[in-house]
Amino acid sequence: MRWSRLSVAAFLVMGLLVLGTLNIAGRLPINGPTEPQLMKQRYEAIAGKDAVSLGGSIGTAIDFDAMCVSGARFYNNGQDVFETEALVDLILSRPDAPQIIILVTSPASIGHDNGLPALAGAYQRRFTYRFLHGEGEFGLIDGDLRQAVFAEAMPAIGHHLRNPWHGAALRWLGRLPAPDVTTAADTRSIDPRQAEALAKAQVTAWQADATEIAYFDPHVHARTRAALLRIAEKVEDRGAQLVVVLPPFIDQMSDPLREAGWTKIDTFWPLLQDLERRNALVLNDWDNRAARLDPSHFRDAVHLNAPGAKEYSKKVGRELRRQKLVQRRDCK
Amino acid sequence: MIFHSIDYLLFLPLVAALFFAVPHRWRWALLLVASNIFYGSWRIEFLALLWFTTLIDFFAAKAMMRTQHKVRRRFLLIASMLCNLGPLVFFKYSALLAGTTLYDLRIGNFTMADVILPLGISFYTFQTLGYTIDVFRKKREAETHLGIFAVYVMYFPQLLAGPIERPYKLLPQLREEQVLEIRRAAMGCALILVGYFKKLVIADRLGLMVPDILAAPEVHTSLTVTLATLGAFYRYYADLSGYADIAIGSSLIMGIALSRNFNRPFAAVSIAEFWQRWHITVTRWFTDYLYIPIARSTRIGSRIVASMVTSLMLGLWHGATFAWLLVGVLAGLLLTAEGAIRRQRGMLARTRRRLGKIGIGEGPARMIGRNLNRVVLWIFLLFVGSIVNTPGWDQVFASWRKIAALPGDVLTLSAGFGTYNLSLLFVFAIAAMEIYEWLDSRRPVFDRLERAGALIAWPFWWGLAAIILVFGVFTSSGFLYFEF
Repeated sequence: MRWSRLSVAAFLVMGLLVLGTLNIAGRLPINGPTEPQLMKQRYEAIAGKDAVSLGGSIGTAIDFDAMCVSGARFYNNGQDVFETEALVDLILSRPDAPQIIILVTSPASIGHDNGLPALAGAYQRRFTYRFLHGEGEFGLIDGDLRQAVFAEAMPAIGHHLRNPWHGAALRWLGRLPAPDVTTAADTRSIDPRQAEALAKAQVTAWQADATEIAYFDPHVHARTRAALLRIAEKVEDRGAQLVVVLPPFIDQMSDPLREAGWTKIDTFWPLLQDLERRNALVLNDWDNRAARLDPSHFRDAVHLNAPGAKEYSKKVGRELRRQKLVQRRDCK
Repeated sequence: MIFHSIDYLLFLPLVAALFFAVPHRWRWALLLVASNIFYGSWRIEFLALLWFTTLIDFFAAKAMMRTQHKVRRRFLLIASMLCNLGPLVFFKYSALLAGTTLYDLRIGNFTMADVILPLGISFYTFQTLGYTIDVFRKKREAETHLGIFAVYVMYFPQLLAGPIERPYKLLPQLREEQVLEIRRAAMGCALILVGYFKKLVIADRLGLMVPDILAAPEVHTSLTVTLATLGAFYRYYADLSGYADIAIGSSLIMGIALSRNFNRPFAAVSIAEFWQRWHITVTRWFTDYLYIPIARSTRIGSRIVASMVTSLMLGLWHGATFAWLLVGVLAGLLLTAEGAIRRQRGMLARTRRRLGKIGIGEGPARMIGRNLNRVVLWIFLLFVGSIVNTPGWDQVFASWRKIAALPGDVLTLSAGFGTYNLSLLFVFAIAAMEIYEWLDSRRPVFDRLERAGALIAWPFWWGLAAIILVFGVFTSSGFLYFEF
C-alpha cells in the first residue's frame, strides 16, 4: 500500500461516508420517534395550556389531570438544570407561553452538568441541542460551544444508535410488539421487599455521580445554583409563576441519606429560600414524612409511577388552588 | 482532558499539526503549553503541584551534578523523595482512611473526604523520582534545559496514566527533530482506535455488568459469576492497556515512541511472567528501584523480602484499598513460592525422571508443568477479580462458593450459558481482542493489513471505528487508572 496525500484524502473521504451513514441512521425514526422528535411532540403539546412541567426524569411526579390543571409535561429523562433553563427560555419566548412553569427537581440536580466531557448525560445535551436547532434556536447552553458544534455533525452513538435498529430487527422477526408511544402511563411498581436495597443503591449512585462530576468540575454546584436562580428571575420578569416541586421518595431513603452524610446536598436548602425570594412557590416534599406515599406508588426509589403521580399531583393541585394560582375546576 | 472526549479528538490533531508546523527549536515549548492545557483543563489548581514536582527534581538533580560530596548528594536525594512521595502519600493513601475515625476528622470546613486524587500523580511522581535516582547513582547526567525537562515530566500522552518513561528513552527523543511520516502517523491512529475499542467496547461494557453481578453473586448462576470474576480482571486489562494504546498511538503521530506497557499478560505461564507482561514500565520501575536494591542489601532471605515488599508496593500502587493490599501480599507469597520451586533443581530433575519412568517424556512433562503454573495463575486472577470488584467479604465468599460450584454445574449441565450480554461480550469482543493481540504479537496487524492492500485495510479500520461507535459505552467519565 502506498502512502501519499491522495491515499490519505481517499481514506478520510471513506471515513466521512461511514460517519455520515451512521449519522443518518441515528436520525431515522426506525422504531418509533427519535428523542428530538419526542421532545418536539411534547413541546407542541404546550400550545394553549395554562401550565407546563419541566425537569429531568423526576418529572414523572406531575399528572396535570389529577391536579385539575390544563398543562403539558415537558420533562426529559436525564436533563440537567442548564438544559432546562434553555427550554424555559424557549417556552417563555412563545406568544402563548403558559403562566405556570412547574420545575420538578431534587437536591441531586445541583451536582449535574451534562456538558462535562464523557459523562453519562452528554447525549442528552446533544439531543437538546438538536431539538433547539430544529426550533430555530442556536444559542449556547451554559456556554457549551463544543456540544453545540458537534450536535449535528456527530452521529448518535452507543445504545442510542443501536437500540432502535435492534428493536426494529426484533419487530421484523416478530419477536417484539410494535412500540405504542401513545400510552405513556407507567404502572411499574417496586417490590416492597426490595425497597431498602433500592434506596441504598440510589443513594450510592447519586453520591458516586456527584463525586465524579465534582471531580471534573468543583464549581458545578455554584453553576447549577446560578442557573436555577436565573430561571426564577426570567419567569418572574415575564410575569409568570414558577413552582418548584420536590416530590417525595420512598420511606426507606431517609436513613441511607442521613448515613451518607452528603454535605453538599445541604447547600440546596438555602437555594430554595432564595428561589422563594424571587417569587417562586416551593413545594418541598423531598424529605417530608407527611407526604410519603406507599412503595407501590413508585417505579423505583425516587420516581413516582402513574398511580403515584396521580396521588401526589392531587396534593400539588390543592396547594396551587390554595395559593390561588389556579381556579377551582370540576375534577373527575 | 480525557482521551475519549470530544475535546481530545479536537486537541490531538491540532497539537500534532502545530508540532510539525513550528520550527524544531520551539517544539518543546509547544508540547509544554499543550501539556499544561491538557492537564489544566481538568483542574488548574493541581498544575501547581505538577510544577512543584518538576522544579524540585530539576534543581535537585542539577545540584547533585555540581557536587561530589556524598552526604550532600544523599541529602538532595532524600529531599527530592520527600517532596515527591509526601504529596503522593497524602493524596492517594488518605483514601485508605475511609471508614476510619480519622476520615471523619474535620478542621474548619475541611474533611479528609474532600481530598481528591490529583490525576496522574502516581505516574509523574515515579517518573521524576526515577530520574533523580538515576542522577544520584550517576547513571545519567542531569538535564540542563528546564523546558525540555518539564516536557519530560508533563508530556501529555503519558502524563495521566503512563507509560512511565525513563529519561534515557524520552529525553533524547524530545531533543531529536521529528519529521512527519504518514505511515507512522497512520500506525498511531490505528493504535488509538484499538485503544478505544478496548476501553469503550470491552472495559466500560464490563463496568456496567461486572460490579452488579459481583454485588449479588448468590442470585446468579455459577457460570455468570465465574465470567464476571474473570471479566473484572479483563475490565482492568482493557481499561489500562486501552489507555496505554491511545497514549502510545497519540505520541507516535508526533514521532515520539513510548514504551510498550502490556504484552498479552493472560498468555503468561506463571505469576512472575504475568508481572513481566502486565504494566511493564511500572513493574520495571519497581524492579530497578525497589526489588534490586533490597535484594542486594539484605543478607538473609533477601529475595523473599524483596519479592514481598515489591509485590506489596505494586498492589498498593494499583489501588489505595485493603483489597489491593491483600492482592499484593498474596502475589508476594506466590512469587516467593514460585521462585523457591524453580530453584529446587534436584527435586525438579527427580520429578522429571519419575515422569519419564511412567512414559511421560521431557516435552509433555514441561507442558504439564507449564499448565499447572497456568492453573495457579488463573486461580490467582479469579481471586483478584473477585475481591477488587466486590463491595464486601460476604459477596467475596459467595462468589467463591459459586465459582467452586462451576465444575459440578458443568458436569450436570446446569451451568447454563451465563448472562446473555456478558457471554456475548466474551464470545465476541474479548475473543476478538485476544485474537488481535495474538496475531499482533507474531506480526503487527497494521503490517498485515498494509500488505493486504487498501481494499482490506481501509474497511477494517473504518469498520472498527463503526463498531466502537455502535457498541461502545459512552457513559463512563474516566479510566480506572485515574484512581491510581
